[in-house]
Amino acid sequence: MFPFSKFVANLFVFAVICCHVTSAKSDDATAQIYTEAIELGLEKDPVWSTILGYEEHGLFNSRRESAFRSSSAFLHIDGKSNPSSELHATLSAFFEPVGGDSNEHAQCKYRARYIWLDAELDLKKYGLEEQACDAYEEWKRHEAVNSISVLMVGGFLENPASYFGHNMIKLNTSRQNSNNLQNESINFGADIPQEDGIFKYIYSGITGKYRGVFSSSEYFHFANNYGETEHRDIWEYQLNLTDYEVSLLLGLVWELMQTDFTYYFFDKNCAYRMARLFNILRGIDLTTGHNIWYAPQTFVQRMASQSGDKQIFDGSPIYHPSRQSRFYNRYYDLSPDEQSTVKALIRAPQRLAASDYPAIELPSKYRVLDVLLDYYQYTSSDGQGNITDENSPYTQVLAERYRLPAADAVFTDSPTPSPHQSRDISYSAITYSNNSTIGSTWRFRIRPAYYDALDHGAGHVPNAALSMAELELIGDGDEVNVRRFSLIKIESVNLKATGLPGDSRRTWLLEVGAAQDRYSDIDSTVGIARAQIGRAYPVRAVNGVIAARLGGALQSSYRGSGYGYLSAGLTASGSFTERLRFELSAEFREGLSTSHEDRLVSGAAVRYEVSRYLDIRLLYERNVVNELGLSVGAYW
Amino acid sequence: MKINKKSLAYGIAFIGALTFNGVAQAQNSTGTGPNPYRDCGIGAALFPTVNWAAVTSNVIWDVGTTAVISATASPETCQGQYVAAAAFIFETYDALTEEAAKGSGEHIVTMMNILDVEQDHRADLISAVRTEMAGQVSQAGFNSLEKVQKAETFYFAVVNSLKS
Repeated sequence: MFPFSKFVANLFVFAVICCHVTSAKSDDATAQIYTEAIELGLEKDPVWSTILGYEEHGLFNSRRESAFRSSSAFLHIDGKSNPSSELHATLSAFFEPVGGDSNEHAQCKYRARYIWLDAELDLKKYGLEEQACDAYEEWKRHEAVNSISVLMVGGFLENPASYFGHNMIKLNTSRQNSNNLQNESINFGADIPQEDGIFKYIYSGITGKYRGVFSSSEYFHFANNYGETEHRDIWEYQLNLTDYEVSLLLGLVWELMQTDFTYYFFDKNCAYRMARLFNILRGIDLTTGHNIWYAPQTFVQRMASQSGDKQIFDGSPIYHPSRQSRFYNRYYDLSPDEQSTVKALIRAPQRLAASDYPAIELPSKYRVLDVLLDYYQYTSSDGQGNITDENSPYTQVLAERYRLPAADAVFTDSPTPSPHQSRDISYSAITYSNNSTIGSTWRFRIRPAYYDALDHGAGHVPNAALSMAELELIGDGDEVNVRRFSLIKIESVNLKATGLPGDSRRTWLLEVGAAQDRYSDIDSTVGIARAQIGRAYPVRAVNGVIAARLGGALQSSYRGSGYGYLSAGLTASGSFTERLRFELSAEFREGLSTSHEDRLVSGAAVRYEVSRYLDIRLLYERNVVNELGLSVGAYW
Repeated sequence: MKINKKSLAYGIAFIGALTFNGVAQAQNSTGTGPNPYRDCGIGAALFPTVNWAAVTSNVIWDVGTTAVISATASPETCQGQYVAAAAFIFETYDALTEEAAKGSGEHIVTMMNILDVEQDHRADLISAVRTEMAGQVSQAGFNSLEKVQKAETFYFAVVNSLKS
């Protein structure tokens, strides 16, 4: 009888020999492929650099290494900074036998590497056996992803991280029994501990204290959160990509979801990381030469401006209006009679239950009720999908809509400009002005982002202002000083406000920074925080607004000027033509202390848009003395 | 009489449950498995507290794991299309019920996709849900229900229509 122990021993020897033979074969194959890869220069290829997350770091971009935080993202110990070593280790790992779980095999974990290297080197000709990657196939819904969309989400003024919008991508499928809301969407965001408050969040976001991660979930989570809860519009850019490019992008996203980055609020943020994904295609580069900040709008502008072989978007994005935008678009689409019915039902909602409202035709009833549903959602929701007012007539409107026969209301869509059509987000201007006391002065203004009442573009709030770290210097030939510095300035105006209860024409202003106390002294710069609140009324003839606000400011004292004032302001802004806009302002300031001289500060400005990249402004300002200036500005 | 605080809390919860049941009459009477909202914790744990920054910067949802945090049923029980549909209904309830009232919409289609409703049966399902929800929404007290309770009502209007 053949002893069992001898059988086991022979089996072990056989296994060792086999493994050795297999290993030797794979080593030979790896060496051959690696030689070919080096001959082709793949280790220096931008695609390989993108897959490995290589970026320039340090002062003057002196150091090149991967942005992946975790060393476990690499197969070679030097992989973080040595693309050749990582290439060799990757090719070698592709030939490794499968362990317990094939999903852990290098071919499956490093899917973009495999797809790209196989396309470049035809790995199967070296005898490579392709592994089954079930987890990856399930995630990408097998072969069902047939296109990819870039999403641009509008800004959200209730969260500093979202002032400038957000980017995501969406994987569109052709599966049966599946629709757009079920498509997978990819997000990049900071992993923020629940307990972090807003100040820690801002500090940590700016200084890179958070890890940033890619994640994937069904689109309806985002569509609902952004569109219904936060009232943010979404523009969807469906890309023209080949099947191979879709496959390669999916592989890259899959790899990146297994690693993490350092999240930086200004530059290495959601927009930057999303834009970097596309460096894997056609030699496209959407990030090189960016400023020290990278905004979501910059990403879609650069992506949509690619031409020739690099053109991956052609046409118009799909517009997904938020609940707020739907409400406004639909309300202003109503006839005067329908608007009157809406107002009457808001005043006396009990008439809904009795169907006691003007005998309008059924199609009009649908329009009125749908506007009311949007209205109550917009004005009564707590932002989490709960109607906060128990007495809100929302449910009565809903019940009436259920009672009527099922049918859609018909509305006419109003055209909405797209963010990629807007000008660049940063602005610089040089101004020559004549000051009635100082004489000639030169001013230099730089605004990293975003817009003012005169130059709002697509995706911005008309006649409002939003800027961060805006600096204007003034010089008279002898000295240079700070004319104005806005750490942040927000001027909120809702031009579309209906004036219905809960949708008031409220306007407010907040500015923190520094400003000249008076224009008669070039060195009168003081630290200042000012706030105002009031009401704004649309002036439809000029697509403009008149705003009246009350408020005040706290400031450091300049030559006994006191530490603040109360103010009453009036502004008007609008457009004569698409390219010619104006703004008028007057503010009466009453000092909090007797030493502060009360004064009227006023201004007038006209802006002419020469092109998408250039404007000219004629400026008049009075603060103790008069100043008249002409500025030329450029967007970049 | 000394009243134990815990007993009082249970009592209030019980009365609350009875009150809610009085409004939301459409319950799982036809063997649809666990109640995803009560047994799997949907609504209670999906968004326990919404971090102001998390909603935009750290959006990592995973219904399969987060929803069962406060579940009384096992994670295995809280899987499948009914639980997925319940989570979808909870999260998109307002859009969903408005579309149901109108008779069509993207969210309604999504929900029926999740539940694998055959194309031939979809119009009938929408019609049945409209009838049921028209009655529920018109009842006094529906307005003051919590969102999760409204979602639960809608869920059982759908599920009971499917099973009947």
